[in-house]
Amino acid sequence: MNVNLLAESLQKNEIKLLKSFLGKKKISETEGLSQVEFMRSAMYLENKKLVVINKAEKKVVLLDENGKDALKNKLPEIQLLNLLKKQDLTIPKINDKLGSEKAKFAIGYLKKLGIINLDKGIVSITSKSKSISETPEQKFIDKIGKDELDISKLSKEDHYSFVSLQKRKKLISIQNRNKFDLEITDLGIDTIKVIPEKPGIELNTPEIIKSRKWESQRFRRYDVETPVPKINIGRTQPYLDFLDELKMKLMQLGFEEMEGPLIDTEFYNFDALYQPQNHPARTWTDVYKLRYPKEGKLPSKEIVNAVKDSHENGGEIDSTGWNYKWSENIAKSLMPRSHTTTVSARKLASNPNTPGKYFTIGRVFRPDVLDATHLIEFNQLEGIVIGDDLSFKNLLGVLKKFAEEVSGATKIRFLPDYYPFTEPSVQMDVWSEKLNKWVEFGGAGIFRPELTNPLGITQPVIAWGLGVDRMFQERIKSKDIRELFSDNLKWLREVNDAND
Amino acid sequence: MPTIDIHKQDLEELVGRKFTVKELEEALTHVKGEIEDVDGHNIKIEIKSTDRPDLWNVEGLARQLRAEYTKNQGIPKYKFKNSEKYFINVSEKVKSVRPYIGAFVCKGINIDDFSLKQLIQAQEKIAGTFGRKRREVAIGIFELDNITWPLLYTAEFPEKIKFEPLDGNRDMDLNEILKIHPKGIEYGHLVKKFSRYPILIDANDKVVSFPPIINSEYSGRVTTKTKNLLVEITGLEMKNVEVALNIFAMSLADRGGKIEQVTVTDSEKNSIITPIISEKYIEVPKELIHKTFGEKLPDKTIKNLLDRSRYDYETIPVTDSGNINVKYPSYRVDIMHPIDVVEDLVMSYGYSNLVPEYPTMNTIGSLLPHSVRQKKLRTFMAGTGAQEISTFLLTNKDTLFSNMNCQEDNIVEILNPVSYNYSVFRNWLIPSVVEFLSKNTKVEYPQKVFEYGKVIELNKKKDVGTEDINKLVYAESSKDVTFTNVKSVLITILSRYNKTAKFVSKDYPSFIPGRSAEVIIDGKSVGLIGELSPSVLSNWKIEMPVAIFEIKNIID
Repeated sequence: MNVNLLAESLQKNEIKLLKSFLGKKKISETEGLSQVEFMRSAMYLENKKLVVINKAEKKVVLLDENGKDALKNKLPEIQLLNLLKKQDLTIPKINDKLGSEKAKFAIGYLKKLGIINLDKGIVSITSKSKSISETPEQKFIDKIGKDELDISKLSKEDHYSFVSLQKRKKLISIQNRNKFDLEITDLGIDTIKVIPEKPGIELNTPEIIKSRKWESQRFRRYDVETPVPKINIGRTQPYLDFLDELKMKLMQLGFEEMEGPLIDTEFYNFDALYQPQNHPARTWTDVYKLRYPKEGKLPSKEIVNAVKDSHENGGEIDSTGWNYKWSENIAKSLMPRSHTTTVSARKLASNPNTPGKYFTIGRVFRPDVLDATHLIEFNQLEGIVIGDDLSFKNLLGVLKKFAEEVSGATKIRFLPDYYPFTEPSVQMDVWSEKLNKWVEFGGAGIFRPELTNPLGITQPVIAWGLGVDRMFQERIKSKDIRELFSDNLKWLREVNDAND
Repeated sequence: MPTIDIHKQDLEELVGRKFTVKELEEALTHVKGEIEDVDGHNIKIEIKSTDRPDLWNVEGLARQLRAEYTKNQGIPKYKFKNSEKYFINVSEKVKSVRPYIGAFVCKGINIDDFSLKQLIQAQEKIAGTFGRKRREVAIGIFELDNITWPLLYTAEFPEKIKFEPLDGNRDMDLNEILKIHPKGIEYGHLVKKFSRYPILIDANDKVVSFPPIINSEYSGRVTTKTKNLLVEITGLEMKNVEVALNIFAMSLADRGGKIEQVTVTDSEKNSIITPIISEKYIEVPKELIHKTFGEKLPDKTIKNLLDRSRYDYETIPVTDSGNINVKYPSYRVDIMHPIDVVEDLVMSYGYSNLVPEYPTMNTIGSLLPHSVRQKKLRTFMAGTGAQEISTFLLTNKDTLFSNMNCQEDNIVEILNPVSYNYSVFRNWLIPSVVEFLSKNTKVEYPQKVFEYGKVIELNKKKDVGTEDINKLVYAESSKDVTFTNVKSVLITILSRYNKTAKFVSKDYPSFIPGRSAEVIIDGKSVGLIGELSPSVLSNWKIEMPVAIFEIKNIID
């Protein structure tokens, strides 16, 4: 920036600081500026490259509580020495004058140095010591009293006193100080010469606008390069945004959204899906059960009996069924739904419009230990397509469409799979360039006739489910699936979604 | 899902063809298998056909693959000899405990370390998964030459029988086995409720096994020196026992063993011979094949697919409305409906050989009105400067009640929680947010957060005994936050929906008395608002004031 423009960008305090160099190369304070104001202006000036801040850490020695006392009244040993110069004293007398603690110390200290004698309770000064009036320690204390001292720069004598005083109680203390001085740059020197006499207007205000002051006075130029703090903005939760995005995509593909309760009967979670009541997947290791409330109500007798027949003997269609005695009580039990297929079952049982395409996204619950790869509560996206002539090829077509539209996949593969309620069943993998491997994307199948027929559906029904949690995890490159339900505010404030 | 360890060379010998790992990967799609791990020739395979126990060992996989890759097709044919030398009598006493037993003898088998491992693995998978941890099916394999025929399958009082169980090192009575033998400890619950325990004894009164717990040391130790085997299977239903017998008999036969049958006679002198692979029939409509494939397959192709899927059949009918009479072996317990046969045909055809076709259906897509409005609400809320969060519905009573200084209420409780932390469903949303704030006390303040989420309330009128309620919660935490701040947010959001709330002063235990209110809209209580009491904040180790509200059904 040109020197003149630079000069016009200076604030009042910056000008004050710059001018205070007065031909000196270095300063560490400016009259009329507090320490804080000085520092702040110095930083602004450094950003503008007008000064350089030299910073170094140093340790300084300061007076502590007893040290301050020694500055005022001298060190106890000096005090005693001065008393004894006047006359010999008894110990109680000394105690009276100095206080017992100081007296005890001073007597001991001086005696050890052979400066005083103690004889029959009388303390006297030795003759050769009468001339002593100062000690190096006292001189050091007096010096600190004037200004804190940089420990690394102590003279030999002062260093000796420093070491000796450090051993004594609360005389001196050590503190870290940031040594700080400013050096003016050539640009700074040039700038000082062109600082305008009249300062620029600082803030534009309604008064300034109305008073037309701006016609006669310039505004101070800002340093627009100065770094500023970030703010915390209001944000929606990224994973919920992703789920919303999926909803929009499905709507665009002609799917109608459906919903169902989070707590449901085993009837809709299992029985209506043709999962036999003794199936291991229905036990407490695989699904949650409820302590309270226990039981719900079943739908119409017609549907219940049709499901019962389907389990027991295949019902109306050409199937053997599971061949066991179906229990209404088990079907009535309530549970947190373990998959959103409950919603599809309810849709099928409610005489839906056909042909039709339906989807749902919602929470499901499974007993597990919460860790970086497992959630106990997560979201599922799933749907059904009902139509007269739907084939397995159509099922693959639906999956392929999702892979392309939803995950942007370019390479997919289909593998045979098993689900109790679909036949044929398929797993779809998409190729992840990032991970350089196949990643499971979803599962699907054609609902078994033993499932659809009792619910009053005679057409084929394609059913599919996509692992939306992992899809999003990959998108935000998260290694911990718990982040989808993050309880870390900092993370939520800072996370970036590649598709934003 | 069963996962099995196989040796590639072993599989190749059983199939009669070599595979690269890549080819094997492709081949395994015919049996719903996926390679989990490759370590030299040792390969771990996950079998997703949980309804096909006959595929859960390497012999079973090879049997299926032979049909895909060699001319060994159609129903697998096995000849079992009945030498009329082996008899098991079943006593009346075992009828109410573990009624069914079947067995066979396998002669001239070469058992090496490897095939022994495979045998034990198969035993574990079949009894563990198909046999529901030995409850439905338990399998014993014995050194035939140590056993004296005929055998007696009966039930006895546990203190009356004493023998040396496998790896037991000494004689024990049955009670002792349940108490101290590892297998007794693991499976004892299957017999404990009975006064007599099942026991299989030979003609010299020696105990062969104590099903479904443990074999005897004298006959149950099978080693690489063993040439002749007895396989005995007990269970609660004969059909499951038969399936397991078939699987083991076929697998041992595949490895060169000569299978001989055993005659089992019950207390009423009814005899059956085991094992027998019977054949069953199912009518598969030709139309179902066409419809499922989405195209008309030529008869030749259908025949080829049936052969490769190991079915036998009579003629393929000329008309499309006709049925194909398909024959399958009795151990195929997965076949309930013609669609099960059709799936096998699709798999043989190869999923990758089908061209995906997006169904042409004119349907109009739509979102639930609530979804649309919810999106807008979340945008409004973020506009207040707050961070949206998403928390779990599962929580615990401390979080919901005691930490909030509240009395316990009736709520939806899990019977089998994995952790106390997640053992009930929340019935209000404020605790979830307070818990969130408590985890972020080191993060820069002021903090403003909101959540639009569900809680579950009890509701006897609903068929599911509960009702999912949508709630909005908003909290602000900073050194100078007050009731006024959050009330301003609330009335502003409500005004977006042309709603006006009445704030009725009401002291709640979680809030500072005199600084909380019930929120009423159109005469109905919809929520609460206030400054959390220092006592609640201390419970959560939060040292910053918090003002908060929650209201329900704002957009329903």
